[in-house]
Amino acid sequence: MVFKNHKHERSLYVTLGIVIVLTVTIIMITHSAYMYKDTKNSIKEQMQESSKETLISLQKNVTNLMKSYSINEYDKLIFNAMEKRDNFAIIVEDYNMGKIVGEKSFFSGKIRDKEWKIIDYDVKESEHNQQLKECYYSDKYDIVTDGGDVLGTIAVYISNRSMNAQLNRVILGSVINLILISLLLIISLFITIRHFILKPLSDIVVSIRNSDDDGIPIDLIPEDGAKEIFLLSNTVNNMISSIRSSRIALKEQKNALHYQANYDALTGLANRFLFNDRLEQAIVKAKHSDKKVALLFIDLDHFKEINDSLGHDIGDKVLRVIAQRLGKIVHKRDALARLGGDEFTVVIEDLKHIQDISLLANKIIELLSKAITIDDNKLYISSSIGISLYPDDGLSAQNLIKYADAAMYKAKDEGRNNFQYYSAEMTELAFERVIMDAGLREALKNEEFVVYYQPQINGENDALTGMEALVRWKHPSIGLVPPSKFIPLAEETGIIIPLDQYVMKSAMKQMTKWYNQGLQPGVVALNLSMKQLNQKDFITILKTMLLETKCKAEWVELEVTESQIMANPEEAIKTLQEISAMGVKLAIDDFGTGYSSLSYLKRLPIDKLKIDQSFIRDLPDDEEDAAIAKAVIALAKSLNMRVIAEGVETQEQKEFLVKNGCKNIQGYLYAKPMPTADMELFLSKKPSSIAH
Amino acid sequence: MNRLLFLALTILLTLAFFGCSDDKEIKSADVVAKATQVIPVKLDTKKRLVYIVTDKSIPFWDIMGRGIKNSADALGYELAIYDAQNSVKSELELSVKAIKEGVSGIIISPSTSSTCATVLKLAKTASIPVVISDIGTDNGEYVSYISSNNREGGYEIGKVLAKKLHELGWSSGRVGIVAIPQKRLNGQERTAGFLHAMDDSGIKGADIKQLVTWSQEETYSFVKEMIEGYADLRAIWLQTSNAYKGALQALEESGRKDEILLIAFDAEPEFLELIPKKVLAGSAMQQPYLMGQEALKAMDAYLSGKEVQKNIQLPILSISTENIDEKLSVIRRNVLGL
Repeated sequence: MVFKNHKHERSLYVTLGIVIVLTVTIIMITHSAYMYKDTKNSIKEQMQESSKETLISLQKNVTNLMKSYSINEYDKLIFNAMEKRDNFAIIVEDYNMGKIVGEKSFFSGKIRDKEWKIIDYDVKESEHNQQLKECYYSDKYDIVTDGGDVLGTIAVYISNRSMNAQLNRVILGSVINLILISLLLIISLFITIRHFILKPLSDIVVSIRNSDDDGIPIDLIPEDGAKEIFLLSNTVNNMISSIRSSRIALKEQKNALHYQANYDALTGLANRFLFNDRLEQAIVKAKHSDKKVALLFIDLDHFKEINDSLGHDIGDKVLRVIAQRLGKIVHKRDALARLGGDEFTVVIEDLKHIQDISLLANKIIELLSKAITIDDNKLYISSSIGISLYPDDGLSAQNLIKYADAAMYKAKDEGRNNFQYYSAEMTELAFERVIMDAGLREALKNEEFVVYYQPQINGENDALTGMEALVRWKHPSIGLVPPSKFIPLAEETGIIIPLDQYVMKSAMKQMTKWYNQGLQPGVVALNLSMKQLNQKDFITILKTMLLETKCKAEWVELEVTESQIMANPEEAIKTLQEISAMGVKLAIDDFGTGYSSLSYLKRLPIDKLKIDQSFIRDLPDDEEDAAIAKAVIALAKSLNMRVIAEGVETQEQKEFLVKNGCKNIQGYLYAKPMPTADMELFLSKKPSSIAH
Repeated sequence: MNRLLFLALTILLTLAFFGCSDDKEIKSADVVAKATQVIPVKLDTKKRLVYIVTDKSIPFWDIMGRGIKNSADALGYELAIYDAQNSVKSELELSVKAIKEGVSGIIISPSTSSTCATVLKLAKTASIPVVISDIGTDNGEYVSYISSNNREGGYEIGKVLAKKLHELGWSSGRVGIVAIPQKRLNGQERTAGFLHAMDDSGIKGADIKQLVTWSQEETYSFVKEMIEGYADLRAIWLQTSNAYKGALQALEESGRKDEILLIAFDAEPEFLELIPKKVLAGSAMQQPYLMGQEALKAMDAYLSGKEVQKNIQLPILSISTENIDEKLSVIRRNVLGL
């Protein structure tokens, strides 16, 4: 903080000093002027009084002496009187003596010379008479005998010299007093002001100046001194405390913002921003130390389904558990980050052996695959990990991320729950994904999607009961793209909604066509995505679609997954009941893989349960799968629902299922999914029989 | 013809008056002076002096006047003696008179030193020199002050008295003083010298009574009071001469005439008999005649431009039974002016 140096501004001390000095001087001068005037008047009065007294005291004595012609005697009296009284002159006019000298009067008396000595008055001395004329004050009395004879006069003269001398003494005394009192007053005022005002103010300034980099005083100002100073200090202290509090709050806010900007609020791990930064730093460090860096890109398998089926609250809790678990393995917490969704990354620096990464990746997969219990729900989550290496795979953070991501997809493709090192081919795959992402919308527009139908057969009599409509993408350059490659992408991008509608519409049209051709295709099962089901106007769309395609409702069966229903059961029940009310049948797809509440299941207008192919694959040998299959069949029966098994590939499987009450079979045992033309051929070859 | 001659004579005269040199002017002035007798010729070259005396009836002053006159005559001065007759007013009037007369100098024996100061003041205005003969002045400018050595005189007569008291074996007795006013400087000196001698001799003092009227009655009553007041009174000193009769009367009446010595100051012609007869034990005699002579001599010296001593003190003769014969001629001339 920079304090301006106000050299050109007058200090309070100087200002007060000037005011004090001026005020004191003016007061003292005024006082002295008044004193002077008062003293002058007083001296004048004293002089008059004194001259009067002199004359009165002299009058009687002089009278007697005058009578006896004792000129020298009254001259002596006059001399003594003048010595005592400091008069300028006392002149006696003696008529008796005048007669003796042959004149009207004889003048005698004393006068002061230039050195203020008393000398004889000489009436003939013009200078004496002039001096008498110039006297400041004079008083004259007649010398009268008791008998009333006037013998002469006596006059006292007072020059302003004595008055001036007295006044000068008064002025000198007054000036000395003035100076002394002024000095005393000024000094005491200065000391008082300095001690009680300026020093405390200066202390406050010093305290305030002793500030930190932000200009906030380090210490509080001592709260003492006069009331006003105390109040000032107190107020400033309150202000300082307030600023400190605000600063702390601001810092906390800043920290919070910084935290929010750099950390994932849910797991407390570094976010994408901080992760990028750390990765870049790690690369720089590795570049200098000539070491390797490994980036592990972890994606949870089927996490989306947890969110969809159990809700985001559960999903968030799962993510927290995952973060905790990762933290246990990756001790260096800075190495961990959550990029968003179910994507986590681990940056391993100072890498010595590639094997270490494999060990770590295995450890992660193993730990994350352990059951997670949340709100009494036991969940199993696997993870797929993609690994890229610096400098082997790429030199920039951006590339390392891209390659690890590609490797992760590879791991997904490899059946999930595994890790993959990046290889150059993956870039191509990743490129495909990008192309696919861009191409999906184009494909929809260009009607590159085609509907395949897989027959559903009554295992007891091998009669066709219906078929499942499955979408395939006939890419003009790549060729046929399997659904596993584009359905998740379509779901992510939301293109699944128009795609689903396209498939539904195409299948409905086809059904009407086949029925109109006299064929018996039975019921067509259409997969309904969650997003589709959540469309507010889905019921209207469905009705419109049925009307437009002239497809009867009873020809259509919509397949929904357990997780789709359970994500929002009340809403789902409502929608499904409306669908059911239209006459459209409903089936639960992949039954057994998700979590179904029996209480909801009972309330749902479900016609059919579809046993997931994962339970069928190892039938009839796998006892667990056999037990599950049996249980599902039993459940369907108890709820008065039909049951169908998908992914049936062998005769044994079919026999087991039929034997245990599941006569509806779908799978390669009977037929693979086939294009419309093949299906039409299939229909025309086999007379359909719809089992109810 | 006559007219032409007159005209020619007039022109000649005019030329003689205005056209000639300075010598000719003086000559013509001399001619005029001689012709008209305008230039006064000082026939009397004597300078005029005035002696102002307070009271000529007092022998002391009279004798002094004679001393002055004696010297004036000897030195060729015209002297006028103005007697104030013991009146201050008159003293001042006479002083003014003398001043107005433009005398060359004034010799004064003033009534008081204070009056003398006034006279000096008046004389100063007319630049007339003044010599004071006795009494003195309070202030003022004067040529010379002639006085007696009163302190010494008092002391010497005190010694004479003390000696007598010792001889008589009366040393334990007291001595009273009838004093002239002690306000006067000569009185103070006189008393101080006498008391000094008393102290030296271990003689105790009685009262000191100051004269006011200077009368015989006053002296009589003072002496009487002291005789009655002090049983051990052994001597009385009169600081004057004129009122000795009052003192003698009081002593006579008291019946202690033979137990108390009387001494005096100054002299009366009778003293020349009274001292040898031991009526008076002695007297300190001033020399007024000599003082007068000295006063005029001082004035003469001043007027002659000589240096003059400001204060001239003349000795007082201490006369007792023992030395009166020896000093008789001096007493007669200098003291009594006989």
